[in-house]
Amino acid sequence: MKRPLLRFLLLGFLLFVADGLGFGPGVDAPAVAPLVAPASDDDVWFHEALLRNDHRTDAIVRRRLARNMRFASSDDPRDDAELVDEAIALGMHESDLVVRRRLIQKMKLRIHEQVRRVPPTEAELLDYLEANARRFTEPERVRVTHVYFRDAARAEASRAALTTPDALDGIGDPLPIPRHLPPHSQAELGRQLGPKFAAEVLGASDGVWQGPFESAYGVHFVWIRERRPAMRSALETVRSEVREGLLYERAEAAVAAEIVALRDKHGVAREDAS
Amino acid sequence: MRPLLTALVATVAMVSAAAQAEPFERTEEREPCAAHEPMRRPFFGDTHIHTARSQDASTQGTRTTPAQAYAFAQGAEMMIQPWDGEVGQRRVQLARPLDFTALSDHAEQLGEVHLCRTPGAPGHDSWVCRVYRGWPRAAFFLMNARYSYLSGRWGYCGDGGQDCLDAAGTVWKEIQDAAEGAYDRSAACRFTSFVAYEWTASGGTAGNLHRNVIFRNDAVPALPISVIETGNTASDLWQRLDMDCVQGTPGCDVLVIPHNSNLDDGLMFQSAVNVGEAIGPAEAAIRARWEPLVEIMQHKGDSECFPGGATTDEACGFEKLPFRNMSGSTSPMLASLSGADAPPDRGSFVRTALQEGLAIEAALGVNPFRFGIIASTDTHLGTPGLVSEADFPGHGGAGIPLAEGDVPPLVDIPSFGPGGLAVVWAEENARDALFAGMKRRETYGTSGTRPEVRFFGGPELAPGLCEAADSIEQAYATGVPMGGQLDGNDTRPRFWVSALRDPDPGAAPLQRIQIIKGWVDDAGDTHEVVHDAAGGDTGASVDLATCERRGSGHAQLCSDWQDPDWRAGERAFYYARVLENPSCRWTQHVCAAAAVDCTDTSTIGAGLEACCAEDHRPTQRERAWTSPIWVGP
Repeated sequence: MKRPLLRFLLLGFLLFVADGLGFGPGVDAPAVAPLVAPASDDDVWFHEALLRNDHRTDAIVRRRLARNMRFASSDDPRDDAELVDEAIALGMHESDLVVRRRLIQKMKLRIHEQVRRVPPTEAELLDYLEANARRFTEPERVRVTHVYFRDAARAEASRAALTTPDALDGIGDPLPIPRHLPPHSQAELGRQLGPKFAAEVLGASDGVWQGPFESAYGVHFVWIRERRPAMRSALETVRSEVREGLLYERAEAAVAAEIVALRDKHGVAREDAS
Repeated sequence: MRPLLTALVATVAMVSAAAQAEPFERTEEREPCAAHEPMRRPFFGDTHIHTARSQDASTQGTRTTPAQAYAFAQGAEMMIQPWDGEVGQRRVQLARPLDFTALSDHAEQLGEVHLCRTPGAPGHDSWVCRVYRGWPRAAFFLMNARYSYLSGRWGYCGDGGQDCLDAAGTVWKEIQDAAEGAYDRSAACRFTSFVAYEWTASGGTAGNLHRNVIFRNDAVPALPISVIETGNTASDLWQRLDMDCVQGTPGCDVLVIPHNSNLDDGLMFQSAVNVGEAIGPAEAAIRARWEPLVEIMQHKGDSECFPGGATTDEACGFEKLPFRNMSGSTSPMLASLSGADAPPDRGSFVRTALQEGLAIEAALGVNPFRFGIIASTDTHLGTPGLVSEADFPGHGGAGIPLAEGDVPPLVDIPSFGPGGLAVVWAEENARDALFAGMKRRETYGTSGTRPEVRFFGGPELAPGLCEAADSIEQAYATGVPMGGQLDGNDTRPRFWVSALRDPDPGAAPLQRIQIIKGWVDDAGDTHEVVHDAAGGDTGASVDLATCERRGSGHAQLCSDWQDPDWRAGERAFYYARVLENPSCRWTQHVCAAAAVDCTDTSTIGAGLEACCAEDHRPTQRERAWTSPIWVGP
């Protein structure tokens, strides 16, 4: 029983050493070329990231550049740090689309992280809940009786036979779903019979046969027996979602403000500005 | 959250009025569900999820808390690794929330991880915790090796391991609190959580003997029972569950679900008392009591049937892994050392176990492997039900860890996948009803989509149910549902199987329903056969360049079926398998999005080599497996 342990320990040690290997700063590369107007937002983010030297310090970018170099020359004996230096000297960090996307993303993530360091207050959470009342509302639910038919022609042929939702003997085609459904929201009904059907049912009138509406399985006449209105959720039941939503919105607003500030700083207009 | 008085009054009233009518016992204080369907509904869930509280999830960068995992299951958006500071670089969200979820963090090392992550806690500054924080992937191997191959706990756990046990209690409380917070005890019954954990045993070098332990309600033992306490013998787990839960905690009930027998090195369905010996009558009975379900498919492959050998089942080669134990995905060196690269064992698969169960029953009078069927994800991102093939973010665990760094185009080991879902037929979405459904095995598993499958059998089952308006009422009245037992085998049974396609417009329509029969003959030899019961080859295909499906399929399929080869006195099981039209596997979605053309090597970008590998499987047929119906004397 000890030998497997030794194998795991050996592997663990190797991983320990490998994980501990850091990447030192590289040699100097040519200075970042000035931003030329007009420029897209992504151009501005990318330019700013280069000015901040993110292409040298970001571990993801460094791995990508090293991998690119090894892909081009798999038997190159140099270590990753040297390969990254050469990749930057060759300008690979500016031509590689993945690196570009990563550097743009890093600029935005940095702002997100700064925003998340300031937790929202209780009052702010309540304000956000109020401002997004539609999102944080228990949905409307309907209690439905339905009669299924394989196709619209068979449904139309039986329309006249429909009287009340409790007199359905001999009407409709077989479907192994109960005819009297429990209260369902649009999403719940959609999960059982299809989203298009659910949308049409929720928009139908109460207390009268409606349809036929198309489901994932055929068509249905529908009678809405009861409609339960939507209700606003209390903060306690949706606290986590409210907090995440507020922080995300704040971060996105900060990103939008930052791009404006960066354009001012570099004196560049938007690409589509004339 | 808990209007106690209302709940008590309502529950007492309901229990009094309906004590005779209810097919399950109500053990909880809660409001009755407004939506109660006597003919039962299918509830879709996931019973196998790891959050940051699991050692292997936390060392791969998962930060999802139990509360966040439950919120995700209900539709909340969530950030996942890789991380940039506090910000996850990917966001995930379920298009269709789940009805129920059981978080199953590894019981082993709950406390060890907590101490390592809590500044000022005992052991926080130990060398093990320093490794854990500084080199998590090394810690993953180191800490797992410790509990797998040595007895006892690390020195930093204190005398008798008490500091780690105390810390495990803290995490166990957090897990219970998260389950309570997520459980909807109101009449709306939107979502059900279960308190659960995973008991993480292994046999041989790395043979998987893992089991998920699911509790019925909030009456649970003071601590989860881990392999560190029991050793790797499942019978010790059952004994401790009996002692700590059933006998030791009022109101406690529990069931155990083995999983990943495909990686068991041939051990899962051997004796859990004396390895290498035959299962005796006592073990057969106790095994059947504790393990009513088996997880047939998940992130780390399918365990239904053994491809090749005795089977002629052409649909058996589904999501099979190319290795036979848990070391197979770690590294070629470890795989070779542990023998993971040897062919799998026929005895590792559920269908074989079901057959062996019949043979044991014929000899001993008890079937130890009367398994109902579920599937789940085994996500190590804390993302229950994240089963979409089109935008699979990987699940980590034994797959590719993404704590930090860039996201490779193929985000997981190509032979791994998003995993499946557990479906329980129950009257309402609440713990007692769902747990009772699991205990009576009225369950099925899917490979991730959501077809609705009914399966009934019985000699008295009414014929013509496919055309009956009250088919479900008749089926319950005259037959037994999936998971049931037909006692007496002197009359040919009839089976009614019905499948409705996943109603999501993005899902594939149905191709066919098959009925799989296994039986044991008079000589004690086991056999199997696959029958097509409804549908057939639809001629549908997939455009591999776009992953667009072509051709038509069935919105619903139904069959009123009898076994043409039935013999009086036979001991057999029958289960239904529902196949959808072909669709792209997650790997092909990635390859197609990257416009990989294997005839043009310039299109095969870095990290996409697997798109053109010999073992690349571009398409699959999503499917569902029902629990069997057993026929015997």
